[in-house]
Formats: sequence, structure tokens, C-alpha cells
Amino acid sequence: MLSISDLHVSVAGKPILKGLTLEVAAGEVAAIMGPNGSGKSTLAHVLSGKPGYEVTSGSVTFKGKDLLGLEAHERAREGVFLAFQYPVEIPGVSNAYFLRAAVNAVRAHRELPELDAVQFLRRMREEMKRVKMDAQLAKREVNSGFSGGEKKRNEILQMAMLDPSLAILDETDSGLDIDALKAVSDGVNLLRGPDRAMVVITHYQRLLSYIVPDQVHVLLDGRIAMSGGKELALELEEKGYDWLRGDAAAA
Amino acid sequence: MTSEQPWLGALRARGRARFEALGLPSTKAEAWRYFPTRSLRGVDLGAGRPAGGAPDRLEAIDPARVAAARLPGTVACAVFVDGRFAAAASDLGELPAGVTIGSLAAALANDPERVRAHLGSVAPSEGAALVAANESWFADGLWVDVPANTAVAGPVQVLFLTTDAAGPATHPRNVVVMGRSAELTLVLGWSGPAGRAYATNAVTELVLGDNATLRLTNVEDEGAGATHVHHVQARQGRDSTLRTFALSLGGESARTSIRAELGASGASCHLDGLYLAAGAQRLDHYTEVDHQAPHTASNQYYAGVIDDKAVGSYLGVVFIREGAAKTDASQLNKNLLLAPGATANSKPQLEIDHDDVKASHGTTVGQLDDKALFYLLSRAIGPEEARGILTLAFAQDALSRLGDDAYAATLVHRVAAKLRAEAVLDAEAELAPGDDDDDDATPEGAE
Repeated sequence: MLSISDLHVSVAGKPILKGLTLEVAAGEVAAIMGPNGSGKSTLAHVLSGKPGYEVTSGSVTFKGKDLLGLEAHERAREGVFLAFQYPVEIPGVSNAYFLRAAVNAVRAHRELPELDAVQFLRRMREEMKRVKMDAQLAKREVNSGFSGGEKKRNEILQMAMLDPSLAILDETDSGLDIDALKAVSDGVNLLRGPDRAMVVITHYQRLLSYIVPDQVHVLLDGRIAMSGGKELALELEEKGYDWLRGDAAAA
Repeated sequence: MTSEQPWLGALRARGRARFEALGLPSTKAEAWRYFPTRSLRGVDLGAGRPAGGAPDRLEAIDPARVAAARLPGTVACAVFVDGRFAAAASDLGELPAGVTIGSLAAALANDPERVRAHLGSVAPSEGAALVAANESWFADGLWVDVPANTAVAGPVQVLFLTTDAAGPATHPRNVVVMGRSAELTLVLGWSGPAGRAYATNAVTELVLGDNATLRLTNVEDEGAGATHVHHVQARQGRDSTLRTFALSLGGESARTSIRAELGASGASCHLDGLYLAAGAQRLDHYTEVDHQAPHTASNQYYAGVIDDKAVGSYLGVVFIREGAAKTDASQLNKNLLLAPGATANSKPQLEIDHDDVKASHGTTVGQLDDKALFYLLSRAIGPEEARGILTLAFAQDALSRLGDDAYAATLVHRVAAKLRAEAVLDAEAELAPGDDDDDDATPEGAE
């Protein structure tokens, strides 16, 4: 599904990713863990096509296509979805309108007919129920005045509606209390499936108790320092990242 | 037509003398600093109508043009063609008893003393060159007389249409007189041919009696080669309310200035506006609010969306005079620049001569929010649609001040069209909560 090979990325001339290689297969949930400054968010942003990131070398292939050659909106249409660490507030734009524009852009790309207002609203209500989101939030302006939990749930709703092949969750747990964390994780787990790959980026092990990964990759200083199964997350929780740092330096 | 009253001849002569003494306004004058009048240089402003002379032939107007311009929900429509009232094209419907809406020239013929009491009394030509030019050369304009305790039930539309037959300049003079506790909504629209240069130099005088309420929506949508200057001035009685909305869309260069005099306790004015400047357009707004009495209130919200190499300007002065205790004044101007060559000039100003007042002002000039833009792109929305969505969202705060009348929706559409965001607006309307009733529906008696 996703194949990243020797990826080097700089921001404002400063190298952040320094030779990152990673494979994520369809149906797999891969967790990317790492300390602050290791390049986790850079990875999420560069995969989604955010401007300001310079790829100096390496490649990213998504479903056999060169992902880096596509604009952000083209990547989304191909099935890449980024759940933002800080979802953006857009006053003056209704959540329902925003979602419908997004859904229809993806449908048009897949050569499916656009959803009319009635079809769309029905589908949105179903998905809102599924991810346990307050129906009133559809009528509000995008993320405006939403609580932290509501914003993250809105991200999960968008993911459910857009039905991506690759979902990247960038520190979805940040700023959430335990109830919100559980609710958002439930939403994510509902969307796990054999055709979808997920990349779950997090600083803490606690999210991975709710979204149990198939693979855990540790990102340290711009490259994957270690990979393992879900038990690696627990080991990191216990030993911290310094243990790996020493290890990497010794290697 | 009979010859004009001597007093009117004297008024015109005064206007002419003042205009000649002053000459065209220069950008050295603070009020005109953002609006060069060079496009008026060399224009024979008096050519349209020799003072006191007979009216020119009234150009026939295509009924389809009037029908196309008619806004929904308006109860009457007065049409002016090349600065003169066109009775046949107008639809004055059924107005409440005692209400007069129509031609100033006709009112001057029928009831000169009534007009004389107000004409030129609100907007003085002293020191105001283009008001003076209008005073000298106006042929006609809107005359509205609403008696005390009378409300006109729906909005009244007034169309000022310029045709290819118009002279180089027209000078509509509008006078609106509202008695005590009178209520009225007026929607003025200005349009003309795209293919030629012409000038409109209009003056609108508003007299609001005690407790009167006037809503005035002004839609400047002149032809692409036009120079448009419109000065609105209001004198407000005790507890009266003036709400204006100045929408600027058209013209090569267009300026709408509004001066509100809050001369009696409890008077308030709400001056709002939206200007969409593109190409090489220069759209200018000047406001002056004069708090002369205690317990007066004003607020202003002007928003500009400026694209290409256009210039959008807002210059607003609020005077709070000595003795205007408990005054509450605010002014806010926000600008969105859509292109590197676009320019916004913004200067809200407060001049306060009394201590016990509340006053605030603010201004912003910015571009589309990169974070919001990327958020939309990351959700598969194409760059052009994303920009349209965000631009329309920026204009929303201003548009919401147009009110709930049916005509407002049409104007919102016109704005969306100029912003290339009509599809956004249509899709939003389809998803509006009104269409979305089954999610709150609870079956009767269901437990």
C-alpha cells in the first residue's frame, strides 16, 4: 500500500527526515512512535502534501503511484487521509457543506455520481451515529468553538465519510481526556479493515492500548531506529527512548 | 416644463460658483486621499443639463432591463434613466396614504415649498466640490416623503440606470424625508453600460424625524468604464435609527461616502459595507459619523475583498463632540487581499472631545489563511473551490448584515458570482437546516 524508501526531507533548509524507510501493507495498522523532534509530524505532513517541506531525496509510493508527484488535493482524492493533530477552525463554512464538498470531490475522482443533499445528509447522519458524534455539530461552522474531543471526532467522521485507503493519524491523542480518547479510538477501530492501511503517529503508548497496532516503528532523529510488534510500545513505555538512542549510537 | 423657482435658480448658481471656486477634490484633502478624481478631469460635468433649462428627451428603457434588475420582495420600484424619473418604467405599487415616492423634479413642480424646506439643507455644498456640482446641475432624483407614524410595509427599490444616450455626467439628487416614527427600507441600485466612460455624481439627503427608522441598501454596480461618486448625508432626530449597507461591485472607480449627524439624544446609525474590487478597479468608502448629542450610538463594519491590481479603501472618521456623553461608537474594517498586486487602504479614526464615552476601532488586512486552505485541500477539495469557499466565508460577516429580506439573498448571490463562489452558495443553501428536518423529528407521542 505505502512504500517509503530512504526519504530525506528538510524544512527551511534543516534536515528533519534523514533516510526513512517504511512499508505499510493493506489492512495493517502501523504505529510510529518517537520523542518530540524526531520527525513524526513532518512525516505526516510530507505524506499529505503540506507545502513547506522539501524532499531532498528518496521516494514514496502509494498504491503503485509516485505520491510525491501529486498535489495535496490529488493525494486526498487517491485515498490519503490525514487526521490533523490540530484540526483547523474555518468560521463561515458549515461542517455539512465542507464534508459534502470533500465527499463529492472524492466520488468524482472515483467516477461515482455526486451525492445530492438528501443522500448526503442521510449518509452523514448514519456515520455520525456510528462515530457517536452529536448531530448538531454538522450544522456548526467547521471546528469553530468545538472542544478538543469534538474536533478529533470530527476528524474521524471525515475519515469515515471519505473512506480512504491510507489514514494517517497525527497525534490524535494529544489534548484528549481518557473518555474522549476512548471514543475516538472506538471510531478508529470501526474503520479498520482489510483494504485500509493506517499509520498512527503518537508520542505515548496509551493510545496504543485502545488502537492496538500490528507493527510498531520507532522514529528517532529522522529515521526508523527499530521495528517490532505491539509489545515494543510497552517496552518503550517502560524504558523510554534513551535506551534506543544509546542502542542506535552503538550500532 | 415651467421655469424653475427663483430660489432654486439661486441654489444652482451657488452650487456652480462653489464648484468653480473649489475645483475637483485633490488627494491632498484627507477625505479624498485614497480616491483620485483624475478620471473626472476634462469631463464637462455640466453638459448633461444646462441649469434651469428644459429637460432632455427621456430615453426609452428596455422593460426587460428593468424586469431583470427588479429584486424579489420589493413592494415598489422607482426607475431613473440617465438621471431622470421614468414613470412608465416604474411600479409604485400601493403605498400607504400620504406616502410619496417618485420624482424630485415633479415634487419641485407640485409642492416646491415642501421640497425647499429640505433640499440642500442636509448636505451643504460649502467646501464640497462634487456636492456643489450636483447642486448646480441635478436634473431629477428620488423624492421620498413618509409622514409621521407611517410604515412602508416592504422594501422599495430605486434603480438608477445609465444608457448609451446619457451625457458625460448625470447628477441625481435624492431627498428622503421621514416623519416622526416613520419606517422605510430603500434599496438603491446603480448600473450602466460596460462599453463606455461615463460619470455619476449623486447626492442623497436623508432627514430622519424623531424615532424614525430607515434602512438604506446601496448597490453600486456601474459599468466597467464608469466613475461613480455618491455622497449620502443624514440628519437624525431623537431616537432615530439609520442602517446603511454599501455594496460596491462595479465601476472603474467608485466612491460611496456617508455622513451621519447624530444630533439628538438616542439617535443611532449602523453603517455597513462590502466592496469587491478586481481588475484595475478602485473602490472607495468614506464615512463620517458625528456624535453631537448624548446617548448616541454608531457602529460600522466594512469588509473588502481585493483581487488582481485593484485598490479598495476605507477611511472612516468618528467625531465625538463635547457634551456627547455616554456615546458608544465602534468601527471595524477588514480586508482580504487575493493577489500580490492588490492594495487595501484602511484608516479608521476617532476624534474624541468628551471623556465619558465608549469608542473602539480596528482594522485588518490579510490573505487567505494557509492553514485553512491546506485543511480544505487535504480533504480533496480543489484549489479553486477551496479559495472560493474561504473568500465567501470571509464576506459572510458583512453579508449577514444585509438582513433577512428576500432581496438580500439575491444580493448575496451577486456577491458570490463576483467571487466565483456561486456553486458554494447553492450547495450551502441545499444543506441549510431548514431542509434538514428529519434528524430532529420526534414522532408525536413517542415514548
